[in-house]
Order: sequence, then C-alpha cells, then structure tokens
Amino acid sequence: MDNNNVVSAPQLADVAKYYDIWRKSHTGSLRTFIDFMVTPSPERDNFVNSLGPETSFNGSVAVVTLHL
Amino acid sequence: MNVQGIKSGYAFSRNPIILRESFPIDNPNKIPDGRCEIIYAGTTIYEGRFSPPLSMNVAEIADAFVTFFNEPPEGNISPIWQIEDTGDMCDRELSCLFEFDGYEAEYNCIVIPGGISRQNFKRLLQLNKDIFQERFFNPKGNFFLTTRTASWRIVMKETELYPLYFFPRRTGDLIRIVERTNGSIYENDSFDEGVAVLDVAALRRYFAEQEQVLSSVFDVYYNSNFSCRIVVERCDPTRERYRLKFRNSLGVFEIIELTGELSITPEYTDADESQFKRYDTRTTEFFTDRERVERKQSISVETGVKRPDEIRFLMDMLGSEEVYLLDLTPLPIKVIPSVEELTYRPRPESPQKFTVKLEISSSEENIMQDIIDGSENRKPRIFSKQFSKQFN
Repeated sequence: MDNNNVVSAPQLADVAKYYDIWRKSHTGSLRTFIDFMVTPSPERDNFVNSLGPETSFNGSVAVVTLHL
Repeated sequence: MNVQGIKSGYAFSRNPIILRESFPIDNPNKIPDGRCEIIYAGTTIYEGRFSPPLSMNVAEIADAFVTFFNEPPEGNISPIWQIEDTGDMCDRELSCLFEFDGYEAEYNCIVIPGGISRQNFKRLLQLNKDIFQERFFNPKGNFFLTTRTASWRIVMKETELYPLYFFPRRTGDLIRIVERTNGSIYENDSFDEGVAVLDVAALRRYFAEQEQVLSSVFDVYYNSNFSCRIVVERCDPTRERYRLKFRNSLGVFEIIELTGELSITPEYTDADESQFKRYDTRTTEFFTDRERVERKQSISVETGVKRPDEIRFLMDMLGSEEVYLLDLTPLPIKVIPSVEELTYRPRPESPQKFTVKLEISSSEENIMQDIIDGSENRKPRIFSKQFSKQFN
C-alpha cells in the first residue's frame, strides 16, 4: 500500500562538508557525526533546519536533503 | 508424488506440506500396511505406517524440528552478511520416504521456519503459484522476508532498522544498491546460495564513510533486475521511545517502535499464598511468617500514532512467539505482548494509537540491580562504557 505521508530521514549530499560545519559547534569524530545524523533528536532537527534543507518528492515520499 | 502448492523445493514449516500418492494395489483382498520414514537434517524424526491412498501433511512434524536462522553479529558493518550457505541449507532438507508393497516414493524439500497467512496460501493455490517462486526467489520484486509490506517500496523508520533477510539463489549473483541522493553504487557478488541479510543501517554507514553521502532512499537491483526501493523514514524526537524486536510470521526478527508513555506494574500475586503459621515454643503460639514472594511485572506502553499498514505490522508482533523489549534496560527483556482493545479503522480520519501490555516472561524472587557486563561496581575509567564527557 502506498503511503502519502512518508518523510525520509535527513540526507546529506556531502558528509565531509557538513561534518566541518557540525564540528564548529560540536566535538567528535566523523563516526560521532554520522551517529548524530542517524539518531532522531531535537539537536539534529535544529542542525538540519538551520542549514536550509531541500525537500523533493520521490513518488509519495518527501525526501529531505542538505545540499551545499 | 503429488505435492500441494510447492514447486520451488522450498516450503514453510507453518504451512501445509501435503504429500499425496496413490500406490497400486495388486491384491484388493489383502492390503498390507505402507511404511513411511521422515528424515530431517540426516536424522530420522518420524516413522509410521499408512494405508493407500496416501495423503499426509508433514509440516507439523517438520515444524517441531526446524530451527530459526541465526542473527548477524552485533556491530556488523558489512551491508550484506551471509547467514547460511549451501551446506547449512542442506541441513534443512526434509526427506520423506514411502514404501508400499514393493513400490517406493520419495519427496525432498528445504523447510524454512515460518509461514504465510492461510488466506494467501489458499489464494496462491487457486492461482497455482508457489510463494517462494513468486516472492522470495523473484528478483523482479521485493524478495525480502519482511511482513512490514508486500509492496515494492519498503518504508522503514530510522529507529526500526534491522537486517532484512533474503535467499540468494546462486553463488555469484550480483546485488547492486543505488542510493538516490548522488547515485553512488554498492555492489556485492560474494555470497553463496542460502540465506543472507541486507543491513540497511550498515549500508547507510558504508555510503556515509566510503562515498561521503548519507542517503535514506535506496534502489535494490538483483542481477540487473530492479527489485525494490528501501526508504528510511524520519522519526520525530520523543521523550520516550521503546522498540520491540519480534520474530515475524516469516520466522525472522524485525523491529517496531513504540513512542508512547511506558509504565511498569510489579505484581505480587502469590503474596497471600506464601504465608504460613510458625509455632513459637517460647510463647506456645502460632505466628504468621512468609517465604520470599515471587514478583511478576507487566508493562503498559502506548504505541504512538500508527498508520493502517503499521497496524498490520503491529498485529504480527502481537501474535509473535518471541518478542524482546529494547531500550528499557541495557539488555533486551523477553516479553509476552497483548492488547486489550485493538479496534482500528483501515481508512482513518484521525490518528490512531493503542495501548500494548507487555508481560515480562520471567518472574523474580530476588530483586536487585541488574548486572550488565559485571563491571558496574567499579569506578568508571576513561575507556569504560560509563565514561561521560564530565571528568571522572
């Protein structure tokens, strides 16, 4: 059954560039940053929203991506 | 030998495996007994007699002996992991031997733990199709052993990611996974015929570390055939989040999350029965004493809002024989789930959520703090798990 209300987990088109941005306000390795990005939290939402994510539609899925 | 509905040589242990054979009867006045022998993994598990015509369901006999697939190792970083190879699958072979008055018949198949719904089984019989050929061995569709969906699009919440089981058909088959953000590709052809898993969490990490892209949408190709799309769905941050790992109808583990409030109710139901009278020789009277009381615990947790397709997945969990509650304690707790009321609307106009009751399967007499790795009583050091960002 297709769903019309699925929002994808946030995507990063360039992990290294966003890691550099994240490191300005956080401490941790690249692996810590990936853990941060794949775990739902208010901090992650703030980080993603502050960088102006692009939302595109892939079928019925709203895909949220950070492009630099 | 006529076998109902099985064309692939694979059968589920919880679906009928009905064998039929009409042995010739040379002398109708004297019909001898036929003999049957059922062998699983090289061991005879059943011997019996029959009278022709033969019609026998051997699924329940096999189901008592068939074992579930292993899980991939904890902390696995390989996107595809082989669970069982060709040799392991041979240990799942069921052989049925029948002998009647000098005539012999034999049937062999690989038995997989689990089953499909009766409705689907009957429908496939009507269509003269085999579930393995149509779904689990079909590279042109969603071939994963998931009850989350039967659609070509598998939507998994980011907190519900758990390796997806599948049956590689031939050694050297190629799985290609294309992430849809930048178009990077992961390919793997180094697995054997048998059982393998696609670990979506490990796949995301692979792309993030190797290709510098964190993706949530993946297209899966099997030998150049488009098979399915996997979408990792965003989860809202919540104060309480608990996950249930359960064995689905197809016999492998999956995870469903519950995002509502959780409460624990200890029950000392045997408190009255554990009391007894003890005689005091000094005062020559009986006084009341008691043995240690067994504690049972039940957990009540709200599911959070569920879509109709998630409610079907929830119902699969409620009927599961093996359910573990994660995230409440560091170690999983085996629970028996139930629900008092599960009335839902297939086409809802408002959000639907339910309350699930989880009864902890083991009771306790001795109550104390949990032992996780045996180092809880030591002062945490810099490399210990308890180390925090605060200096300790």
